Amino acid sequence: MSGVQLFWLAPLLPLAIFVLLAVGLARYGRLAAGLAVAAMAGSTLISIAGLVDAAQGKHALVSLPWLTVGGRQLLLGLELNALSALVATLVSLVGLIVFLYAVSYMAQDAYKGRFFAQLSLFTGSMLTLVFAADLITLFIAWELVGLCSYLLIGFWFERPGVPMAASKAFFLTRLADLALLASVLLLIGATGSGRIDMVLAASTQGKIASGLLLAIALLAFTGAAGKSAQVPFQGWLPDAMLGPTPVSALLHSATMVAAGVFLVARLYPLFQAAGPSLQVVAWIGVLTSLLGGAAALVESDLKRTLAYSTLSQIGLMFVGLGSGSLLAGVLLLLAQALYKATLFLAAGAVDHALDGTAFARMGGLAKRMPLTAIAFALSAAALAGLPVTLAFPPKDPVLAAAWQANTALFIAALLASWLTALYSARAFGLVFLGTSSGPAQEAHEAQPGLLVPQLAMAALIPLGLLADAALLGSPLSRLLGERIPDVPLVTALALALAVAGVAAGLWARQVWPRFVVWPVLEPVTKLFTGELGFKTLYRVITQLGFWIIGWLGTFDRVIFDTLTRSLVRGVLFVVRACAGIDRRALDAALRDLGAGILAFSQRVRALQTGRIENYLLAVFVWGLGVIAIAVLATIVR
Amino acid sequence: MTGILEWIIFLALSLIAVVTAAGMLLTMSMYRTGLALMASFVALAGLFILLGADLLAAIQIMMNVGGMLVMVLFMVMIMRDPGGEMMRAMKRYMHIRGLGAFSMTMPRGKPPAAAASQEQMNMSDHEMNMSHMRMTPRQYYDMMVGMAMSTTQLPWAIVLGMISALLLIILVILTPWPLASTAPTQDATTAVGELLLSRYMIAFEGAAFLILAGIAGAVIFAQRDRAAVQQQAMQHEPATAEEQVYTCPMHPEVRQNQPGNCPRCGMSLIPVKEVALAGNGHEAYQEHGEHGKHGGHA
Amino acid sequence: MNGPGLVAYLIVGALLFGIGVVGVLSQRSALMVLMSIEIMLNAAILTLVAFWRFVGPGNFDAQVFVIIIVTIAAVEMAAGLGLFLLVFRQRGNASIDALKDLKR
Repeated sequence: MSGVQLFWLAPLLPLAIFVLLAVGLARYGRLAAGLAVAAMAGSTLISIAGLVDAAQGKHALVSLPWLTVGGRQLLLGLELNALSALVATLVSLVGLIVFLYAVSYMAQDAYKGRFFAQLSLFTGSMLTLVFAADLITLFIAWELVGLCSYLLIGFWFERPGVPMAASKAFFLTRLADLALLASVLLLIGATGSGRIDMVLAASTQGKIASGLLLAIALLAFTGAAGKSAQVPFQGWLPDAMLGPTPVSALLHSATMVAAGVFLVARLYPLFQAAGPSLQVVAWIGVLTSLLGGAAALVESDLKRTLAYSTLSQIGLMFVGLGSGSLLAGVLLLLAQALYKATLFLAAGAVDHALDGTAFARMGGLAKRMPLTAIAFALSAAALAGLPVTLAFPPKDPVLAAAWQANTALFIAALLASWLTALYSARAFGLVFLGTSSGPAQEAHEAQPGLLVPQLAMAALIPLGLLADAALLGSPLSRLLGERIPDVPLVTALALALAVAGVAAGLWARQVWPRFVVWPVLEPVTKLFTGELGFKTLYRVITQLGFWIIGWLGTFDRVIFDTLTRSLVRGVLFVVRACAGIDRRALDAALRDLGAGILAFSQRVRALQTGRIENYLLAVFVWGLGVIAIAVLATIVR
Repeated sequence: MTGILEWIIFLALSLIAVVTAAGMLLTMSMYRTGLALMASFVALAGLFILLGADLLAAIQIMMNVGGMLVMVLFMVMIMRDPGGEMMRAMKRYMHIRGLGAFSMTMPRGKPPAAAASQEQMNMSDHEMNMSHMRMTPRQYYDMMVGMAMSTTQLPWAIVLGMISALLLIILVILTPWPLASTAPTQDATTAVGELLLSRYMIAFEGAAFLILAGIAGAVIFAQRDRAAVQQQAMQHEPATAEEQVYTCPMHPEVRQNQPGNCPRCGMSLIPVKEVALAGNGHEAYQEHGEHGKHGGHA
Repeated sequence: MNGPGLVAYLIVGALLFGIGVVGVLSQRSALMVLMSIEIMLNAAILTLVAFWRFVGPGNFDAQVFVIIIVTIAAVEMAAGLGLFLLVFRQRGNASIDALKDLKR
């Protein structure tokens, strides 16, 4: 009963629950919730067991043969290794807490059975993705996760704007997934196998042409960027906040959006071997980070702020990865998952209390929702970069790696960190400090069901940050086989900026208590809310898309429909002609034949007179005939 | 016997035989028909004697002439007009032309409607003169039907008879018969007697049985059942009683008020009283279609 | 000159046969039909006797045959008359053109 033997159950349990609920049990809301939570608990335990085993260096593989194509066999499989076990533990633990939270959050919702079914599908798919041993399984899970995102964002599909948001998320990520598919296919074609370890081996051993490898890496990163809401795919994440808060907490802060980071981490040797691909990764990351940070600063909605924050943080993760440090990226991934999830849980509690997440509805909630405020404060501080534990703040490794990679990169990352501090302080101030607005005055502390998970998650933050603490012997470093460069300058700069940022944010909040938007930034606000013109770009692209579709539709209608119609008319004509022939010629022929036979038989019938004299005559004629023949025969002879 | 004498006797007898046979058909008197046939058979007997078959001649006279006598008795007993007087009178009265009985044929075609014209009926002008007797074409038609002695097949019959006779004659003439030149030696009677009781014993006995069967059958056929006849007489009036129930002779459970056919076997239904009193089976199979006496002889 | 030969007798028989045919096919009364049949039979007997006389006078089988024929003719006549009587009693006449019950 060890992690090595059972790790494959971790994705399977939630998936099984999904199937159960999908076939009908979803109508029992409470049962569904209970089952989902139980499955998640099981997954968590198994993942932890798996992590323990993986930390000891054990490996495992579970696979099914799938296709044999061109002499090569493709299989689907799950694999236990250090990175996968780590991320799996994260996903299932966060998932468990969010599930518990969701039980209370969705208690009043009539369709919570469906909700938990979809959530279970998500966690199952996510865990499959994490444990995937080969590219095909990974891609399948990737798509499933995208599907769940669509379903869950659009859970309250009757509300305005929700279906559009869900569709936007789906389309944008799907577009990116095409690139991922292309890279997967190229890889399988180039290496002859879908197995990730084989692919990685092939790339490091130089068996793939460098140009091809670069293309593959870039395409894969494009897919990752889509899933992780990086430029140019970042537009969907803020709109995804229209989903229920547990969804935002789980998918769009901690897990799904981190899938892109996970992908790059998983395929790291490939990226390392693929020339300048990592640089591209880093720069895209920093760009996104800056954009996200700026937009978060001018947002008027709490959850949207958190969304921009998420994509900004993920950008920093990519900076870390792109700077050559796998560990930096993974550490930030772990930390951000924890504190972002907590932030969202708190936001959900606020949402429940105020029935809305606009900043205008909030203010001064610290008095009314003290425990929530504490949880929020803790996570916001971690987000800002303040040292909340004895360990270093999570952004440090990233900055250190960036410092070592590229100075420009470092400066940009530093700027992004400062922005992070600013907006997190702003958010905290707007929600919990100052005077309460109308709705805020009636707020009360969150119910235990919502509160406890928050606090639990908040408690995990220091734990998470301790993950690679030198005090504990840097377990993660040993796990991933890397060392964090210790650059005191960077640490100092980062810390200073964090403090400065938080102070500025809080002070500015005090100075202008009523303003949601900082007047200084007002002219630039529009630029930022328009995401530096990206929204306009999206609109143009969408219009173009619709125009093309319209044109194709007309083409189809005019050409193909006309063609079909002509064909149909032609066929009908032939059919009618045949029917006419059949009716007139054949039927007439048959009728005439029948009539002829009838007439003939009527005439023959006349022979049956029933009169004896006629019959006698007939007999005599016949007899006479015989005699005549005899006579003729005699004469002839 | 010399050849010429033989020829003369032969021709005389043959002439009598053939002419009387033809005359049998032509005469309108039934009595004379019987007599004519008798004469023909007697002439044939004479021919047999000429051929030297005395036994056969005797048998011929005894059997056939005797039979014809019986036939004549029949005519006289049953027919309304055995002498043919009425027929001759009608023929004269209606100015019908033609040879004897052959003139009294069934009219062809369908019976004319009440107001039919001369053309429709194919009547000659002289036949149309009947109008002065105040007879409609329909009535005339019906009278002819009643009186007719030969069917509409008469022309065919004549043609066929002539052809068959002609064919036979041709055959006879053309065939090279293996003529024997000897004359009969034995006395026929003795020889035939011997043959009958030796070689043809079975045939002889068979003939006896046949005669027996014939007698028995004829007697049974001809039996009269008084009660049935009375029933028949009564039945000639239309059944006025409403309870005239019809039933099937084979299925007495079938009863209905209308005459018609039995639903089980399709036989014609007969009135119930008839069945009850049926003696032999034959009277029971009654057909109530065609009575009403037709004119003329039957 | 010789007396009439086989052929002469046969011709007479043929003529009688023809007359019989005419009678059978054209007469309306059943009795007349019976009598015409008699004529035909007798014509056959005549030819038989003629053959006996001119082809095989030593063989009296022909005369036995004739006896049998005559017997049969008589029996047939009796049966025919019996039937005729039946029909006559039922219908009042025995015209053969009235005996068309076989026709639907």
